[in-house]
Amino acid sequence: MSPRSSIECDVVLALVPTFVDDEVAESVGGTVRRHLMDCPACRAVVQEEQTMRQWFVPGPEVDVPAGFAAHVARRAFAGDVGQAPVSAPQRELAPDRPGGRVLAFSRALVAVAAGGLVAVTLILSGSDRPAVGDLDAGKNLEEALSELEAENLSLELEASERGEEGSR
Amino acid sequence: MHKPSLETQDDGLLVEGTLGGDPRCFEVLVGRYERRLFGLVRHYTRSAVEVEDIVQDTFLKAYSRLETFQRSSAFYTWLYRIAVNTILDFMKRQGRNPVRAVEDPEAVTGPRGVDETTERKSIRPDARLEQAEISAITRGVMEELPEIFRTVLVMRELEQMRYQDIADVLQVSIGTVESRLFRARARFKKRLLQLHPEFAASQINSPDKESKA
Repeated sequence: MSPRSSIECDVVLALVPTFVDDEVAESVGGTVRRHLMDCPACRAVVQEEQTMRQWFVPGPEVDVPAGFAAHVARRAFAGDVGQAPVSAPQRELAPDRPGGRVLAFSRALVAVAAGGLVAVTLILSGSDRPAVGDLDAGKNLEEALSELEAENLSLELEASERGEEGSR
Repeated sequence: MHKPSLETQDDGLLVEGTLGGDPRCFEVLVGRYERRLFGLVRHYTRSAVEVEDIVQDTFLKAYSRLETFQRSSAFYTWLYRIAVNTILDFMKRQGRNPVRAVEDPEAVTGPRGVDETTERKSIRPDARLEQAEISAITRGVMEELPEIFRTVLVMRELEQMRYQDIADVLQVSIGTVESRLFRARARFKKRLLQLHPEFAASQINSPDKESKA
């Protein structure tokens, strides 16, 4: 801690990225600034953080094709909904809203029914199941493994982030 | 009384007009945000055709879901969320796994899962570099990052979005945005040093080391 500062270097260092991003509360920012005046070591870290930002400069001007907006508006009003399935905002059906609760309940019901159906099917057709060697899994194995790996990595990251938030 | 032109109307009124069946209102909305979306999407593909396709898809999806837009949120935040999802869909369709190599174990060494030595390394653009050159180098490094980190860096560093807006778009907490940005910057530095070791300056001492010295 610097001689006159009321805040520890460790605390300041943890705040450096958000401080440089101007995302700390004004009162916290003031405390950090006072600490930095007295602490050359923390000041150096802040300067390094600012240096890092120098890599992010605007790229060349973007060229938007002439008439793009009119073209898109025409297509939209003609009923074109784009190539990919819509997978955007889910907020409108959050579980804390009446519509969201109904949907969540319906989903749960469908999931239970589907699970039961699968179980019955497996019991009834257990003796007819093919041996492992008969399965042609090799064709899409690489793709399936890749997807699994990506999913695992994503889950790992989320869990890690949740852990950090919890410890904060 | 003079009626304001469509170009000066706020987003909410243009959304209302679009839902009311006026294609000019939607055209003004598209025109208002097309440049920003082109700027966003170009960070994910170098193909001008693909950029145009993705932006177009984004607007078409937005139109098809316009009745679900809640006036309490900013139209651009809502649109941006659709754009990010469209980019992810596009990358998946192209076989470019958007979450590839999210965390390679050897990089998970520090308290937030980053290499502390990389974090403390000074890397600054050479003063002789033109802005376009810096931009090209940065772009090359960004392309090497997993999408989850690239997106948060684009939003914060290039789009200058506030944490709250990023959190709204990604539908995560502000704490997650902070954490993700921290990791993304560490990854960016590390990859930059790997690709361009010539930019590594002298390593600065940590405050503890300096205070003990």
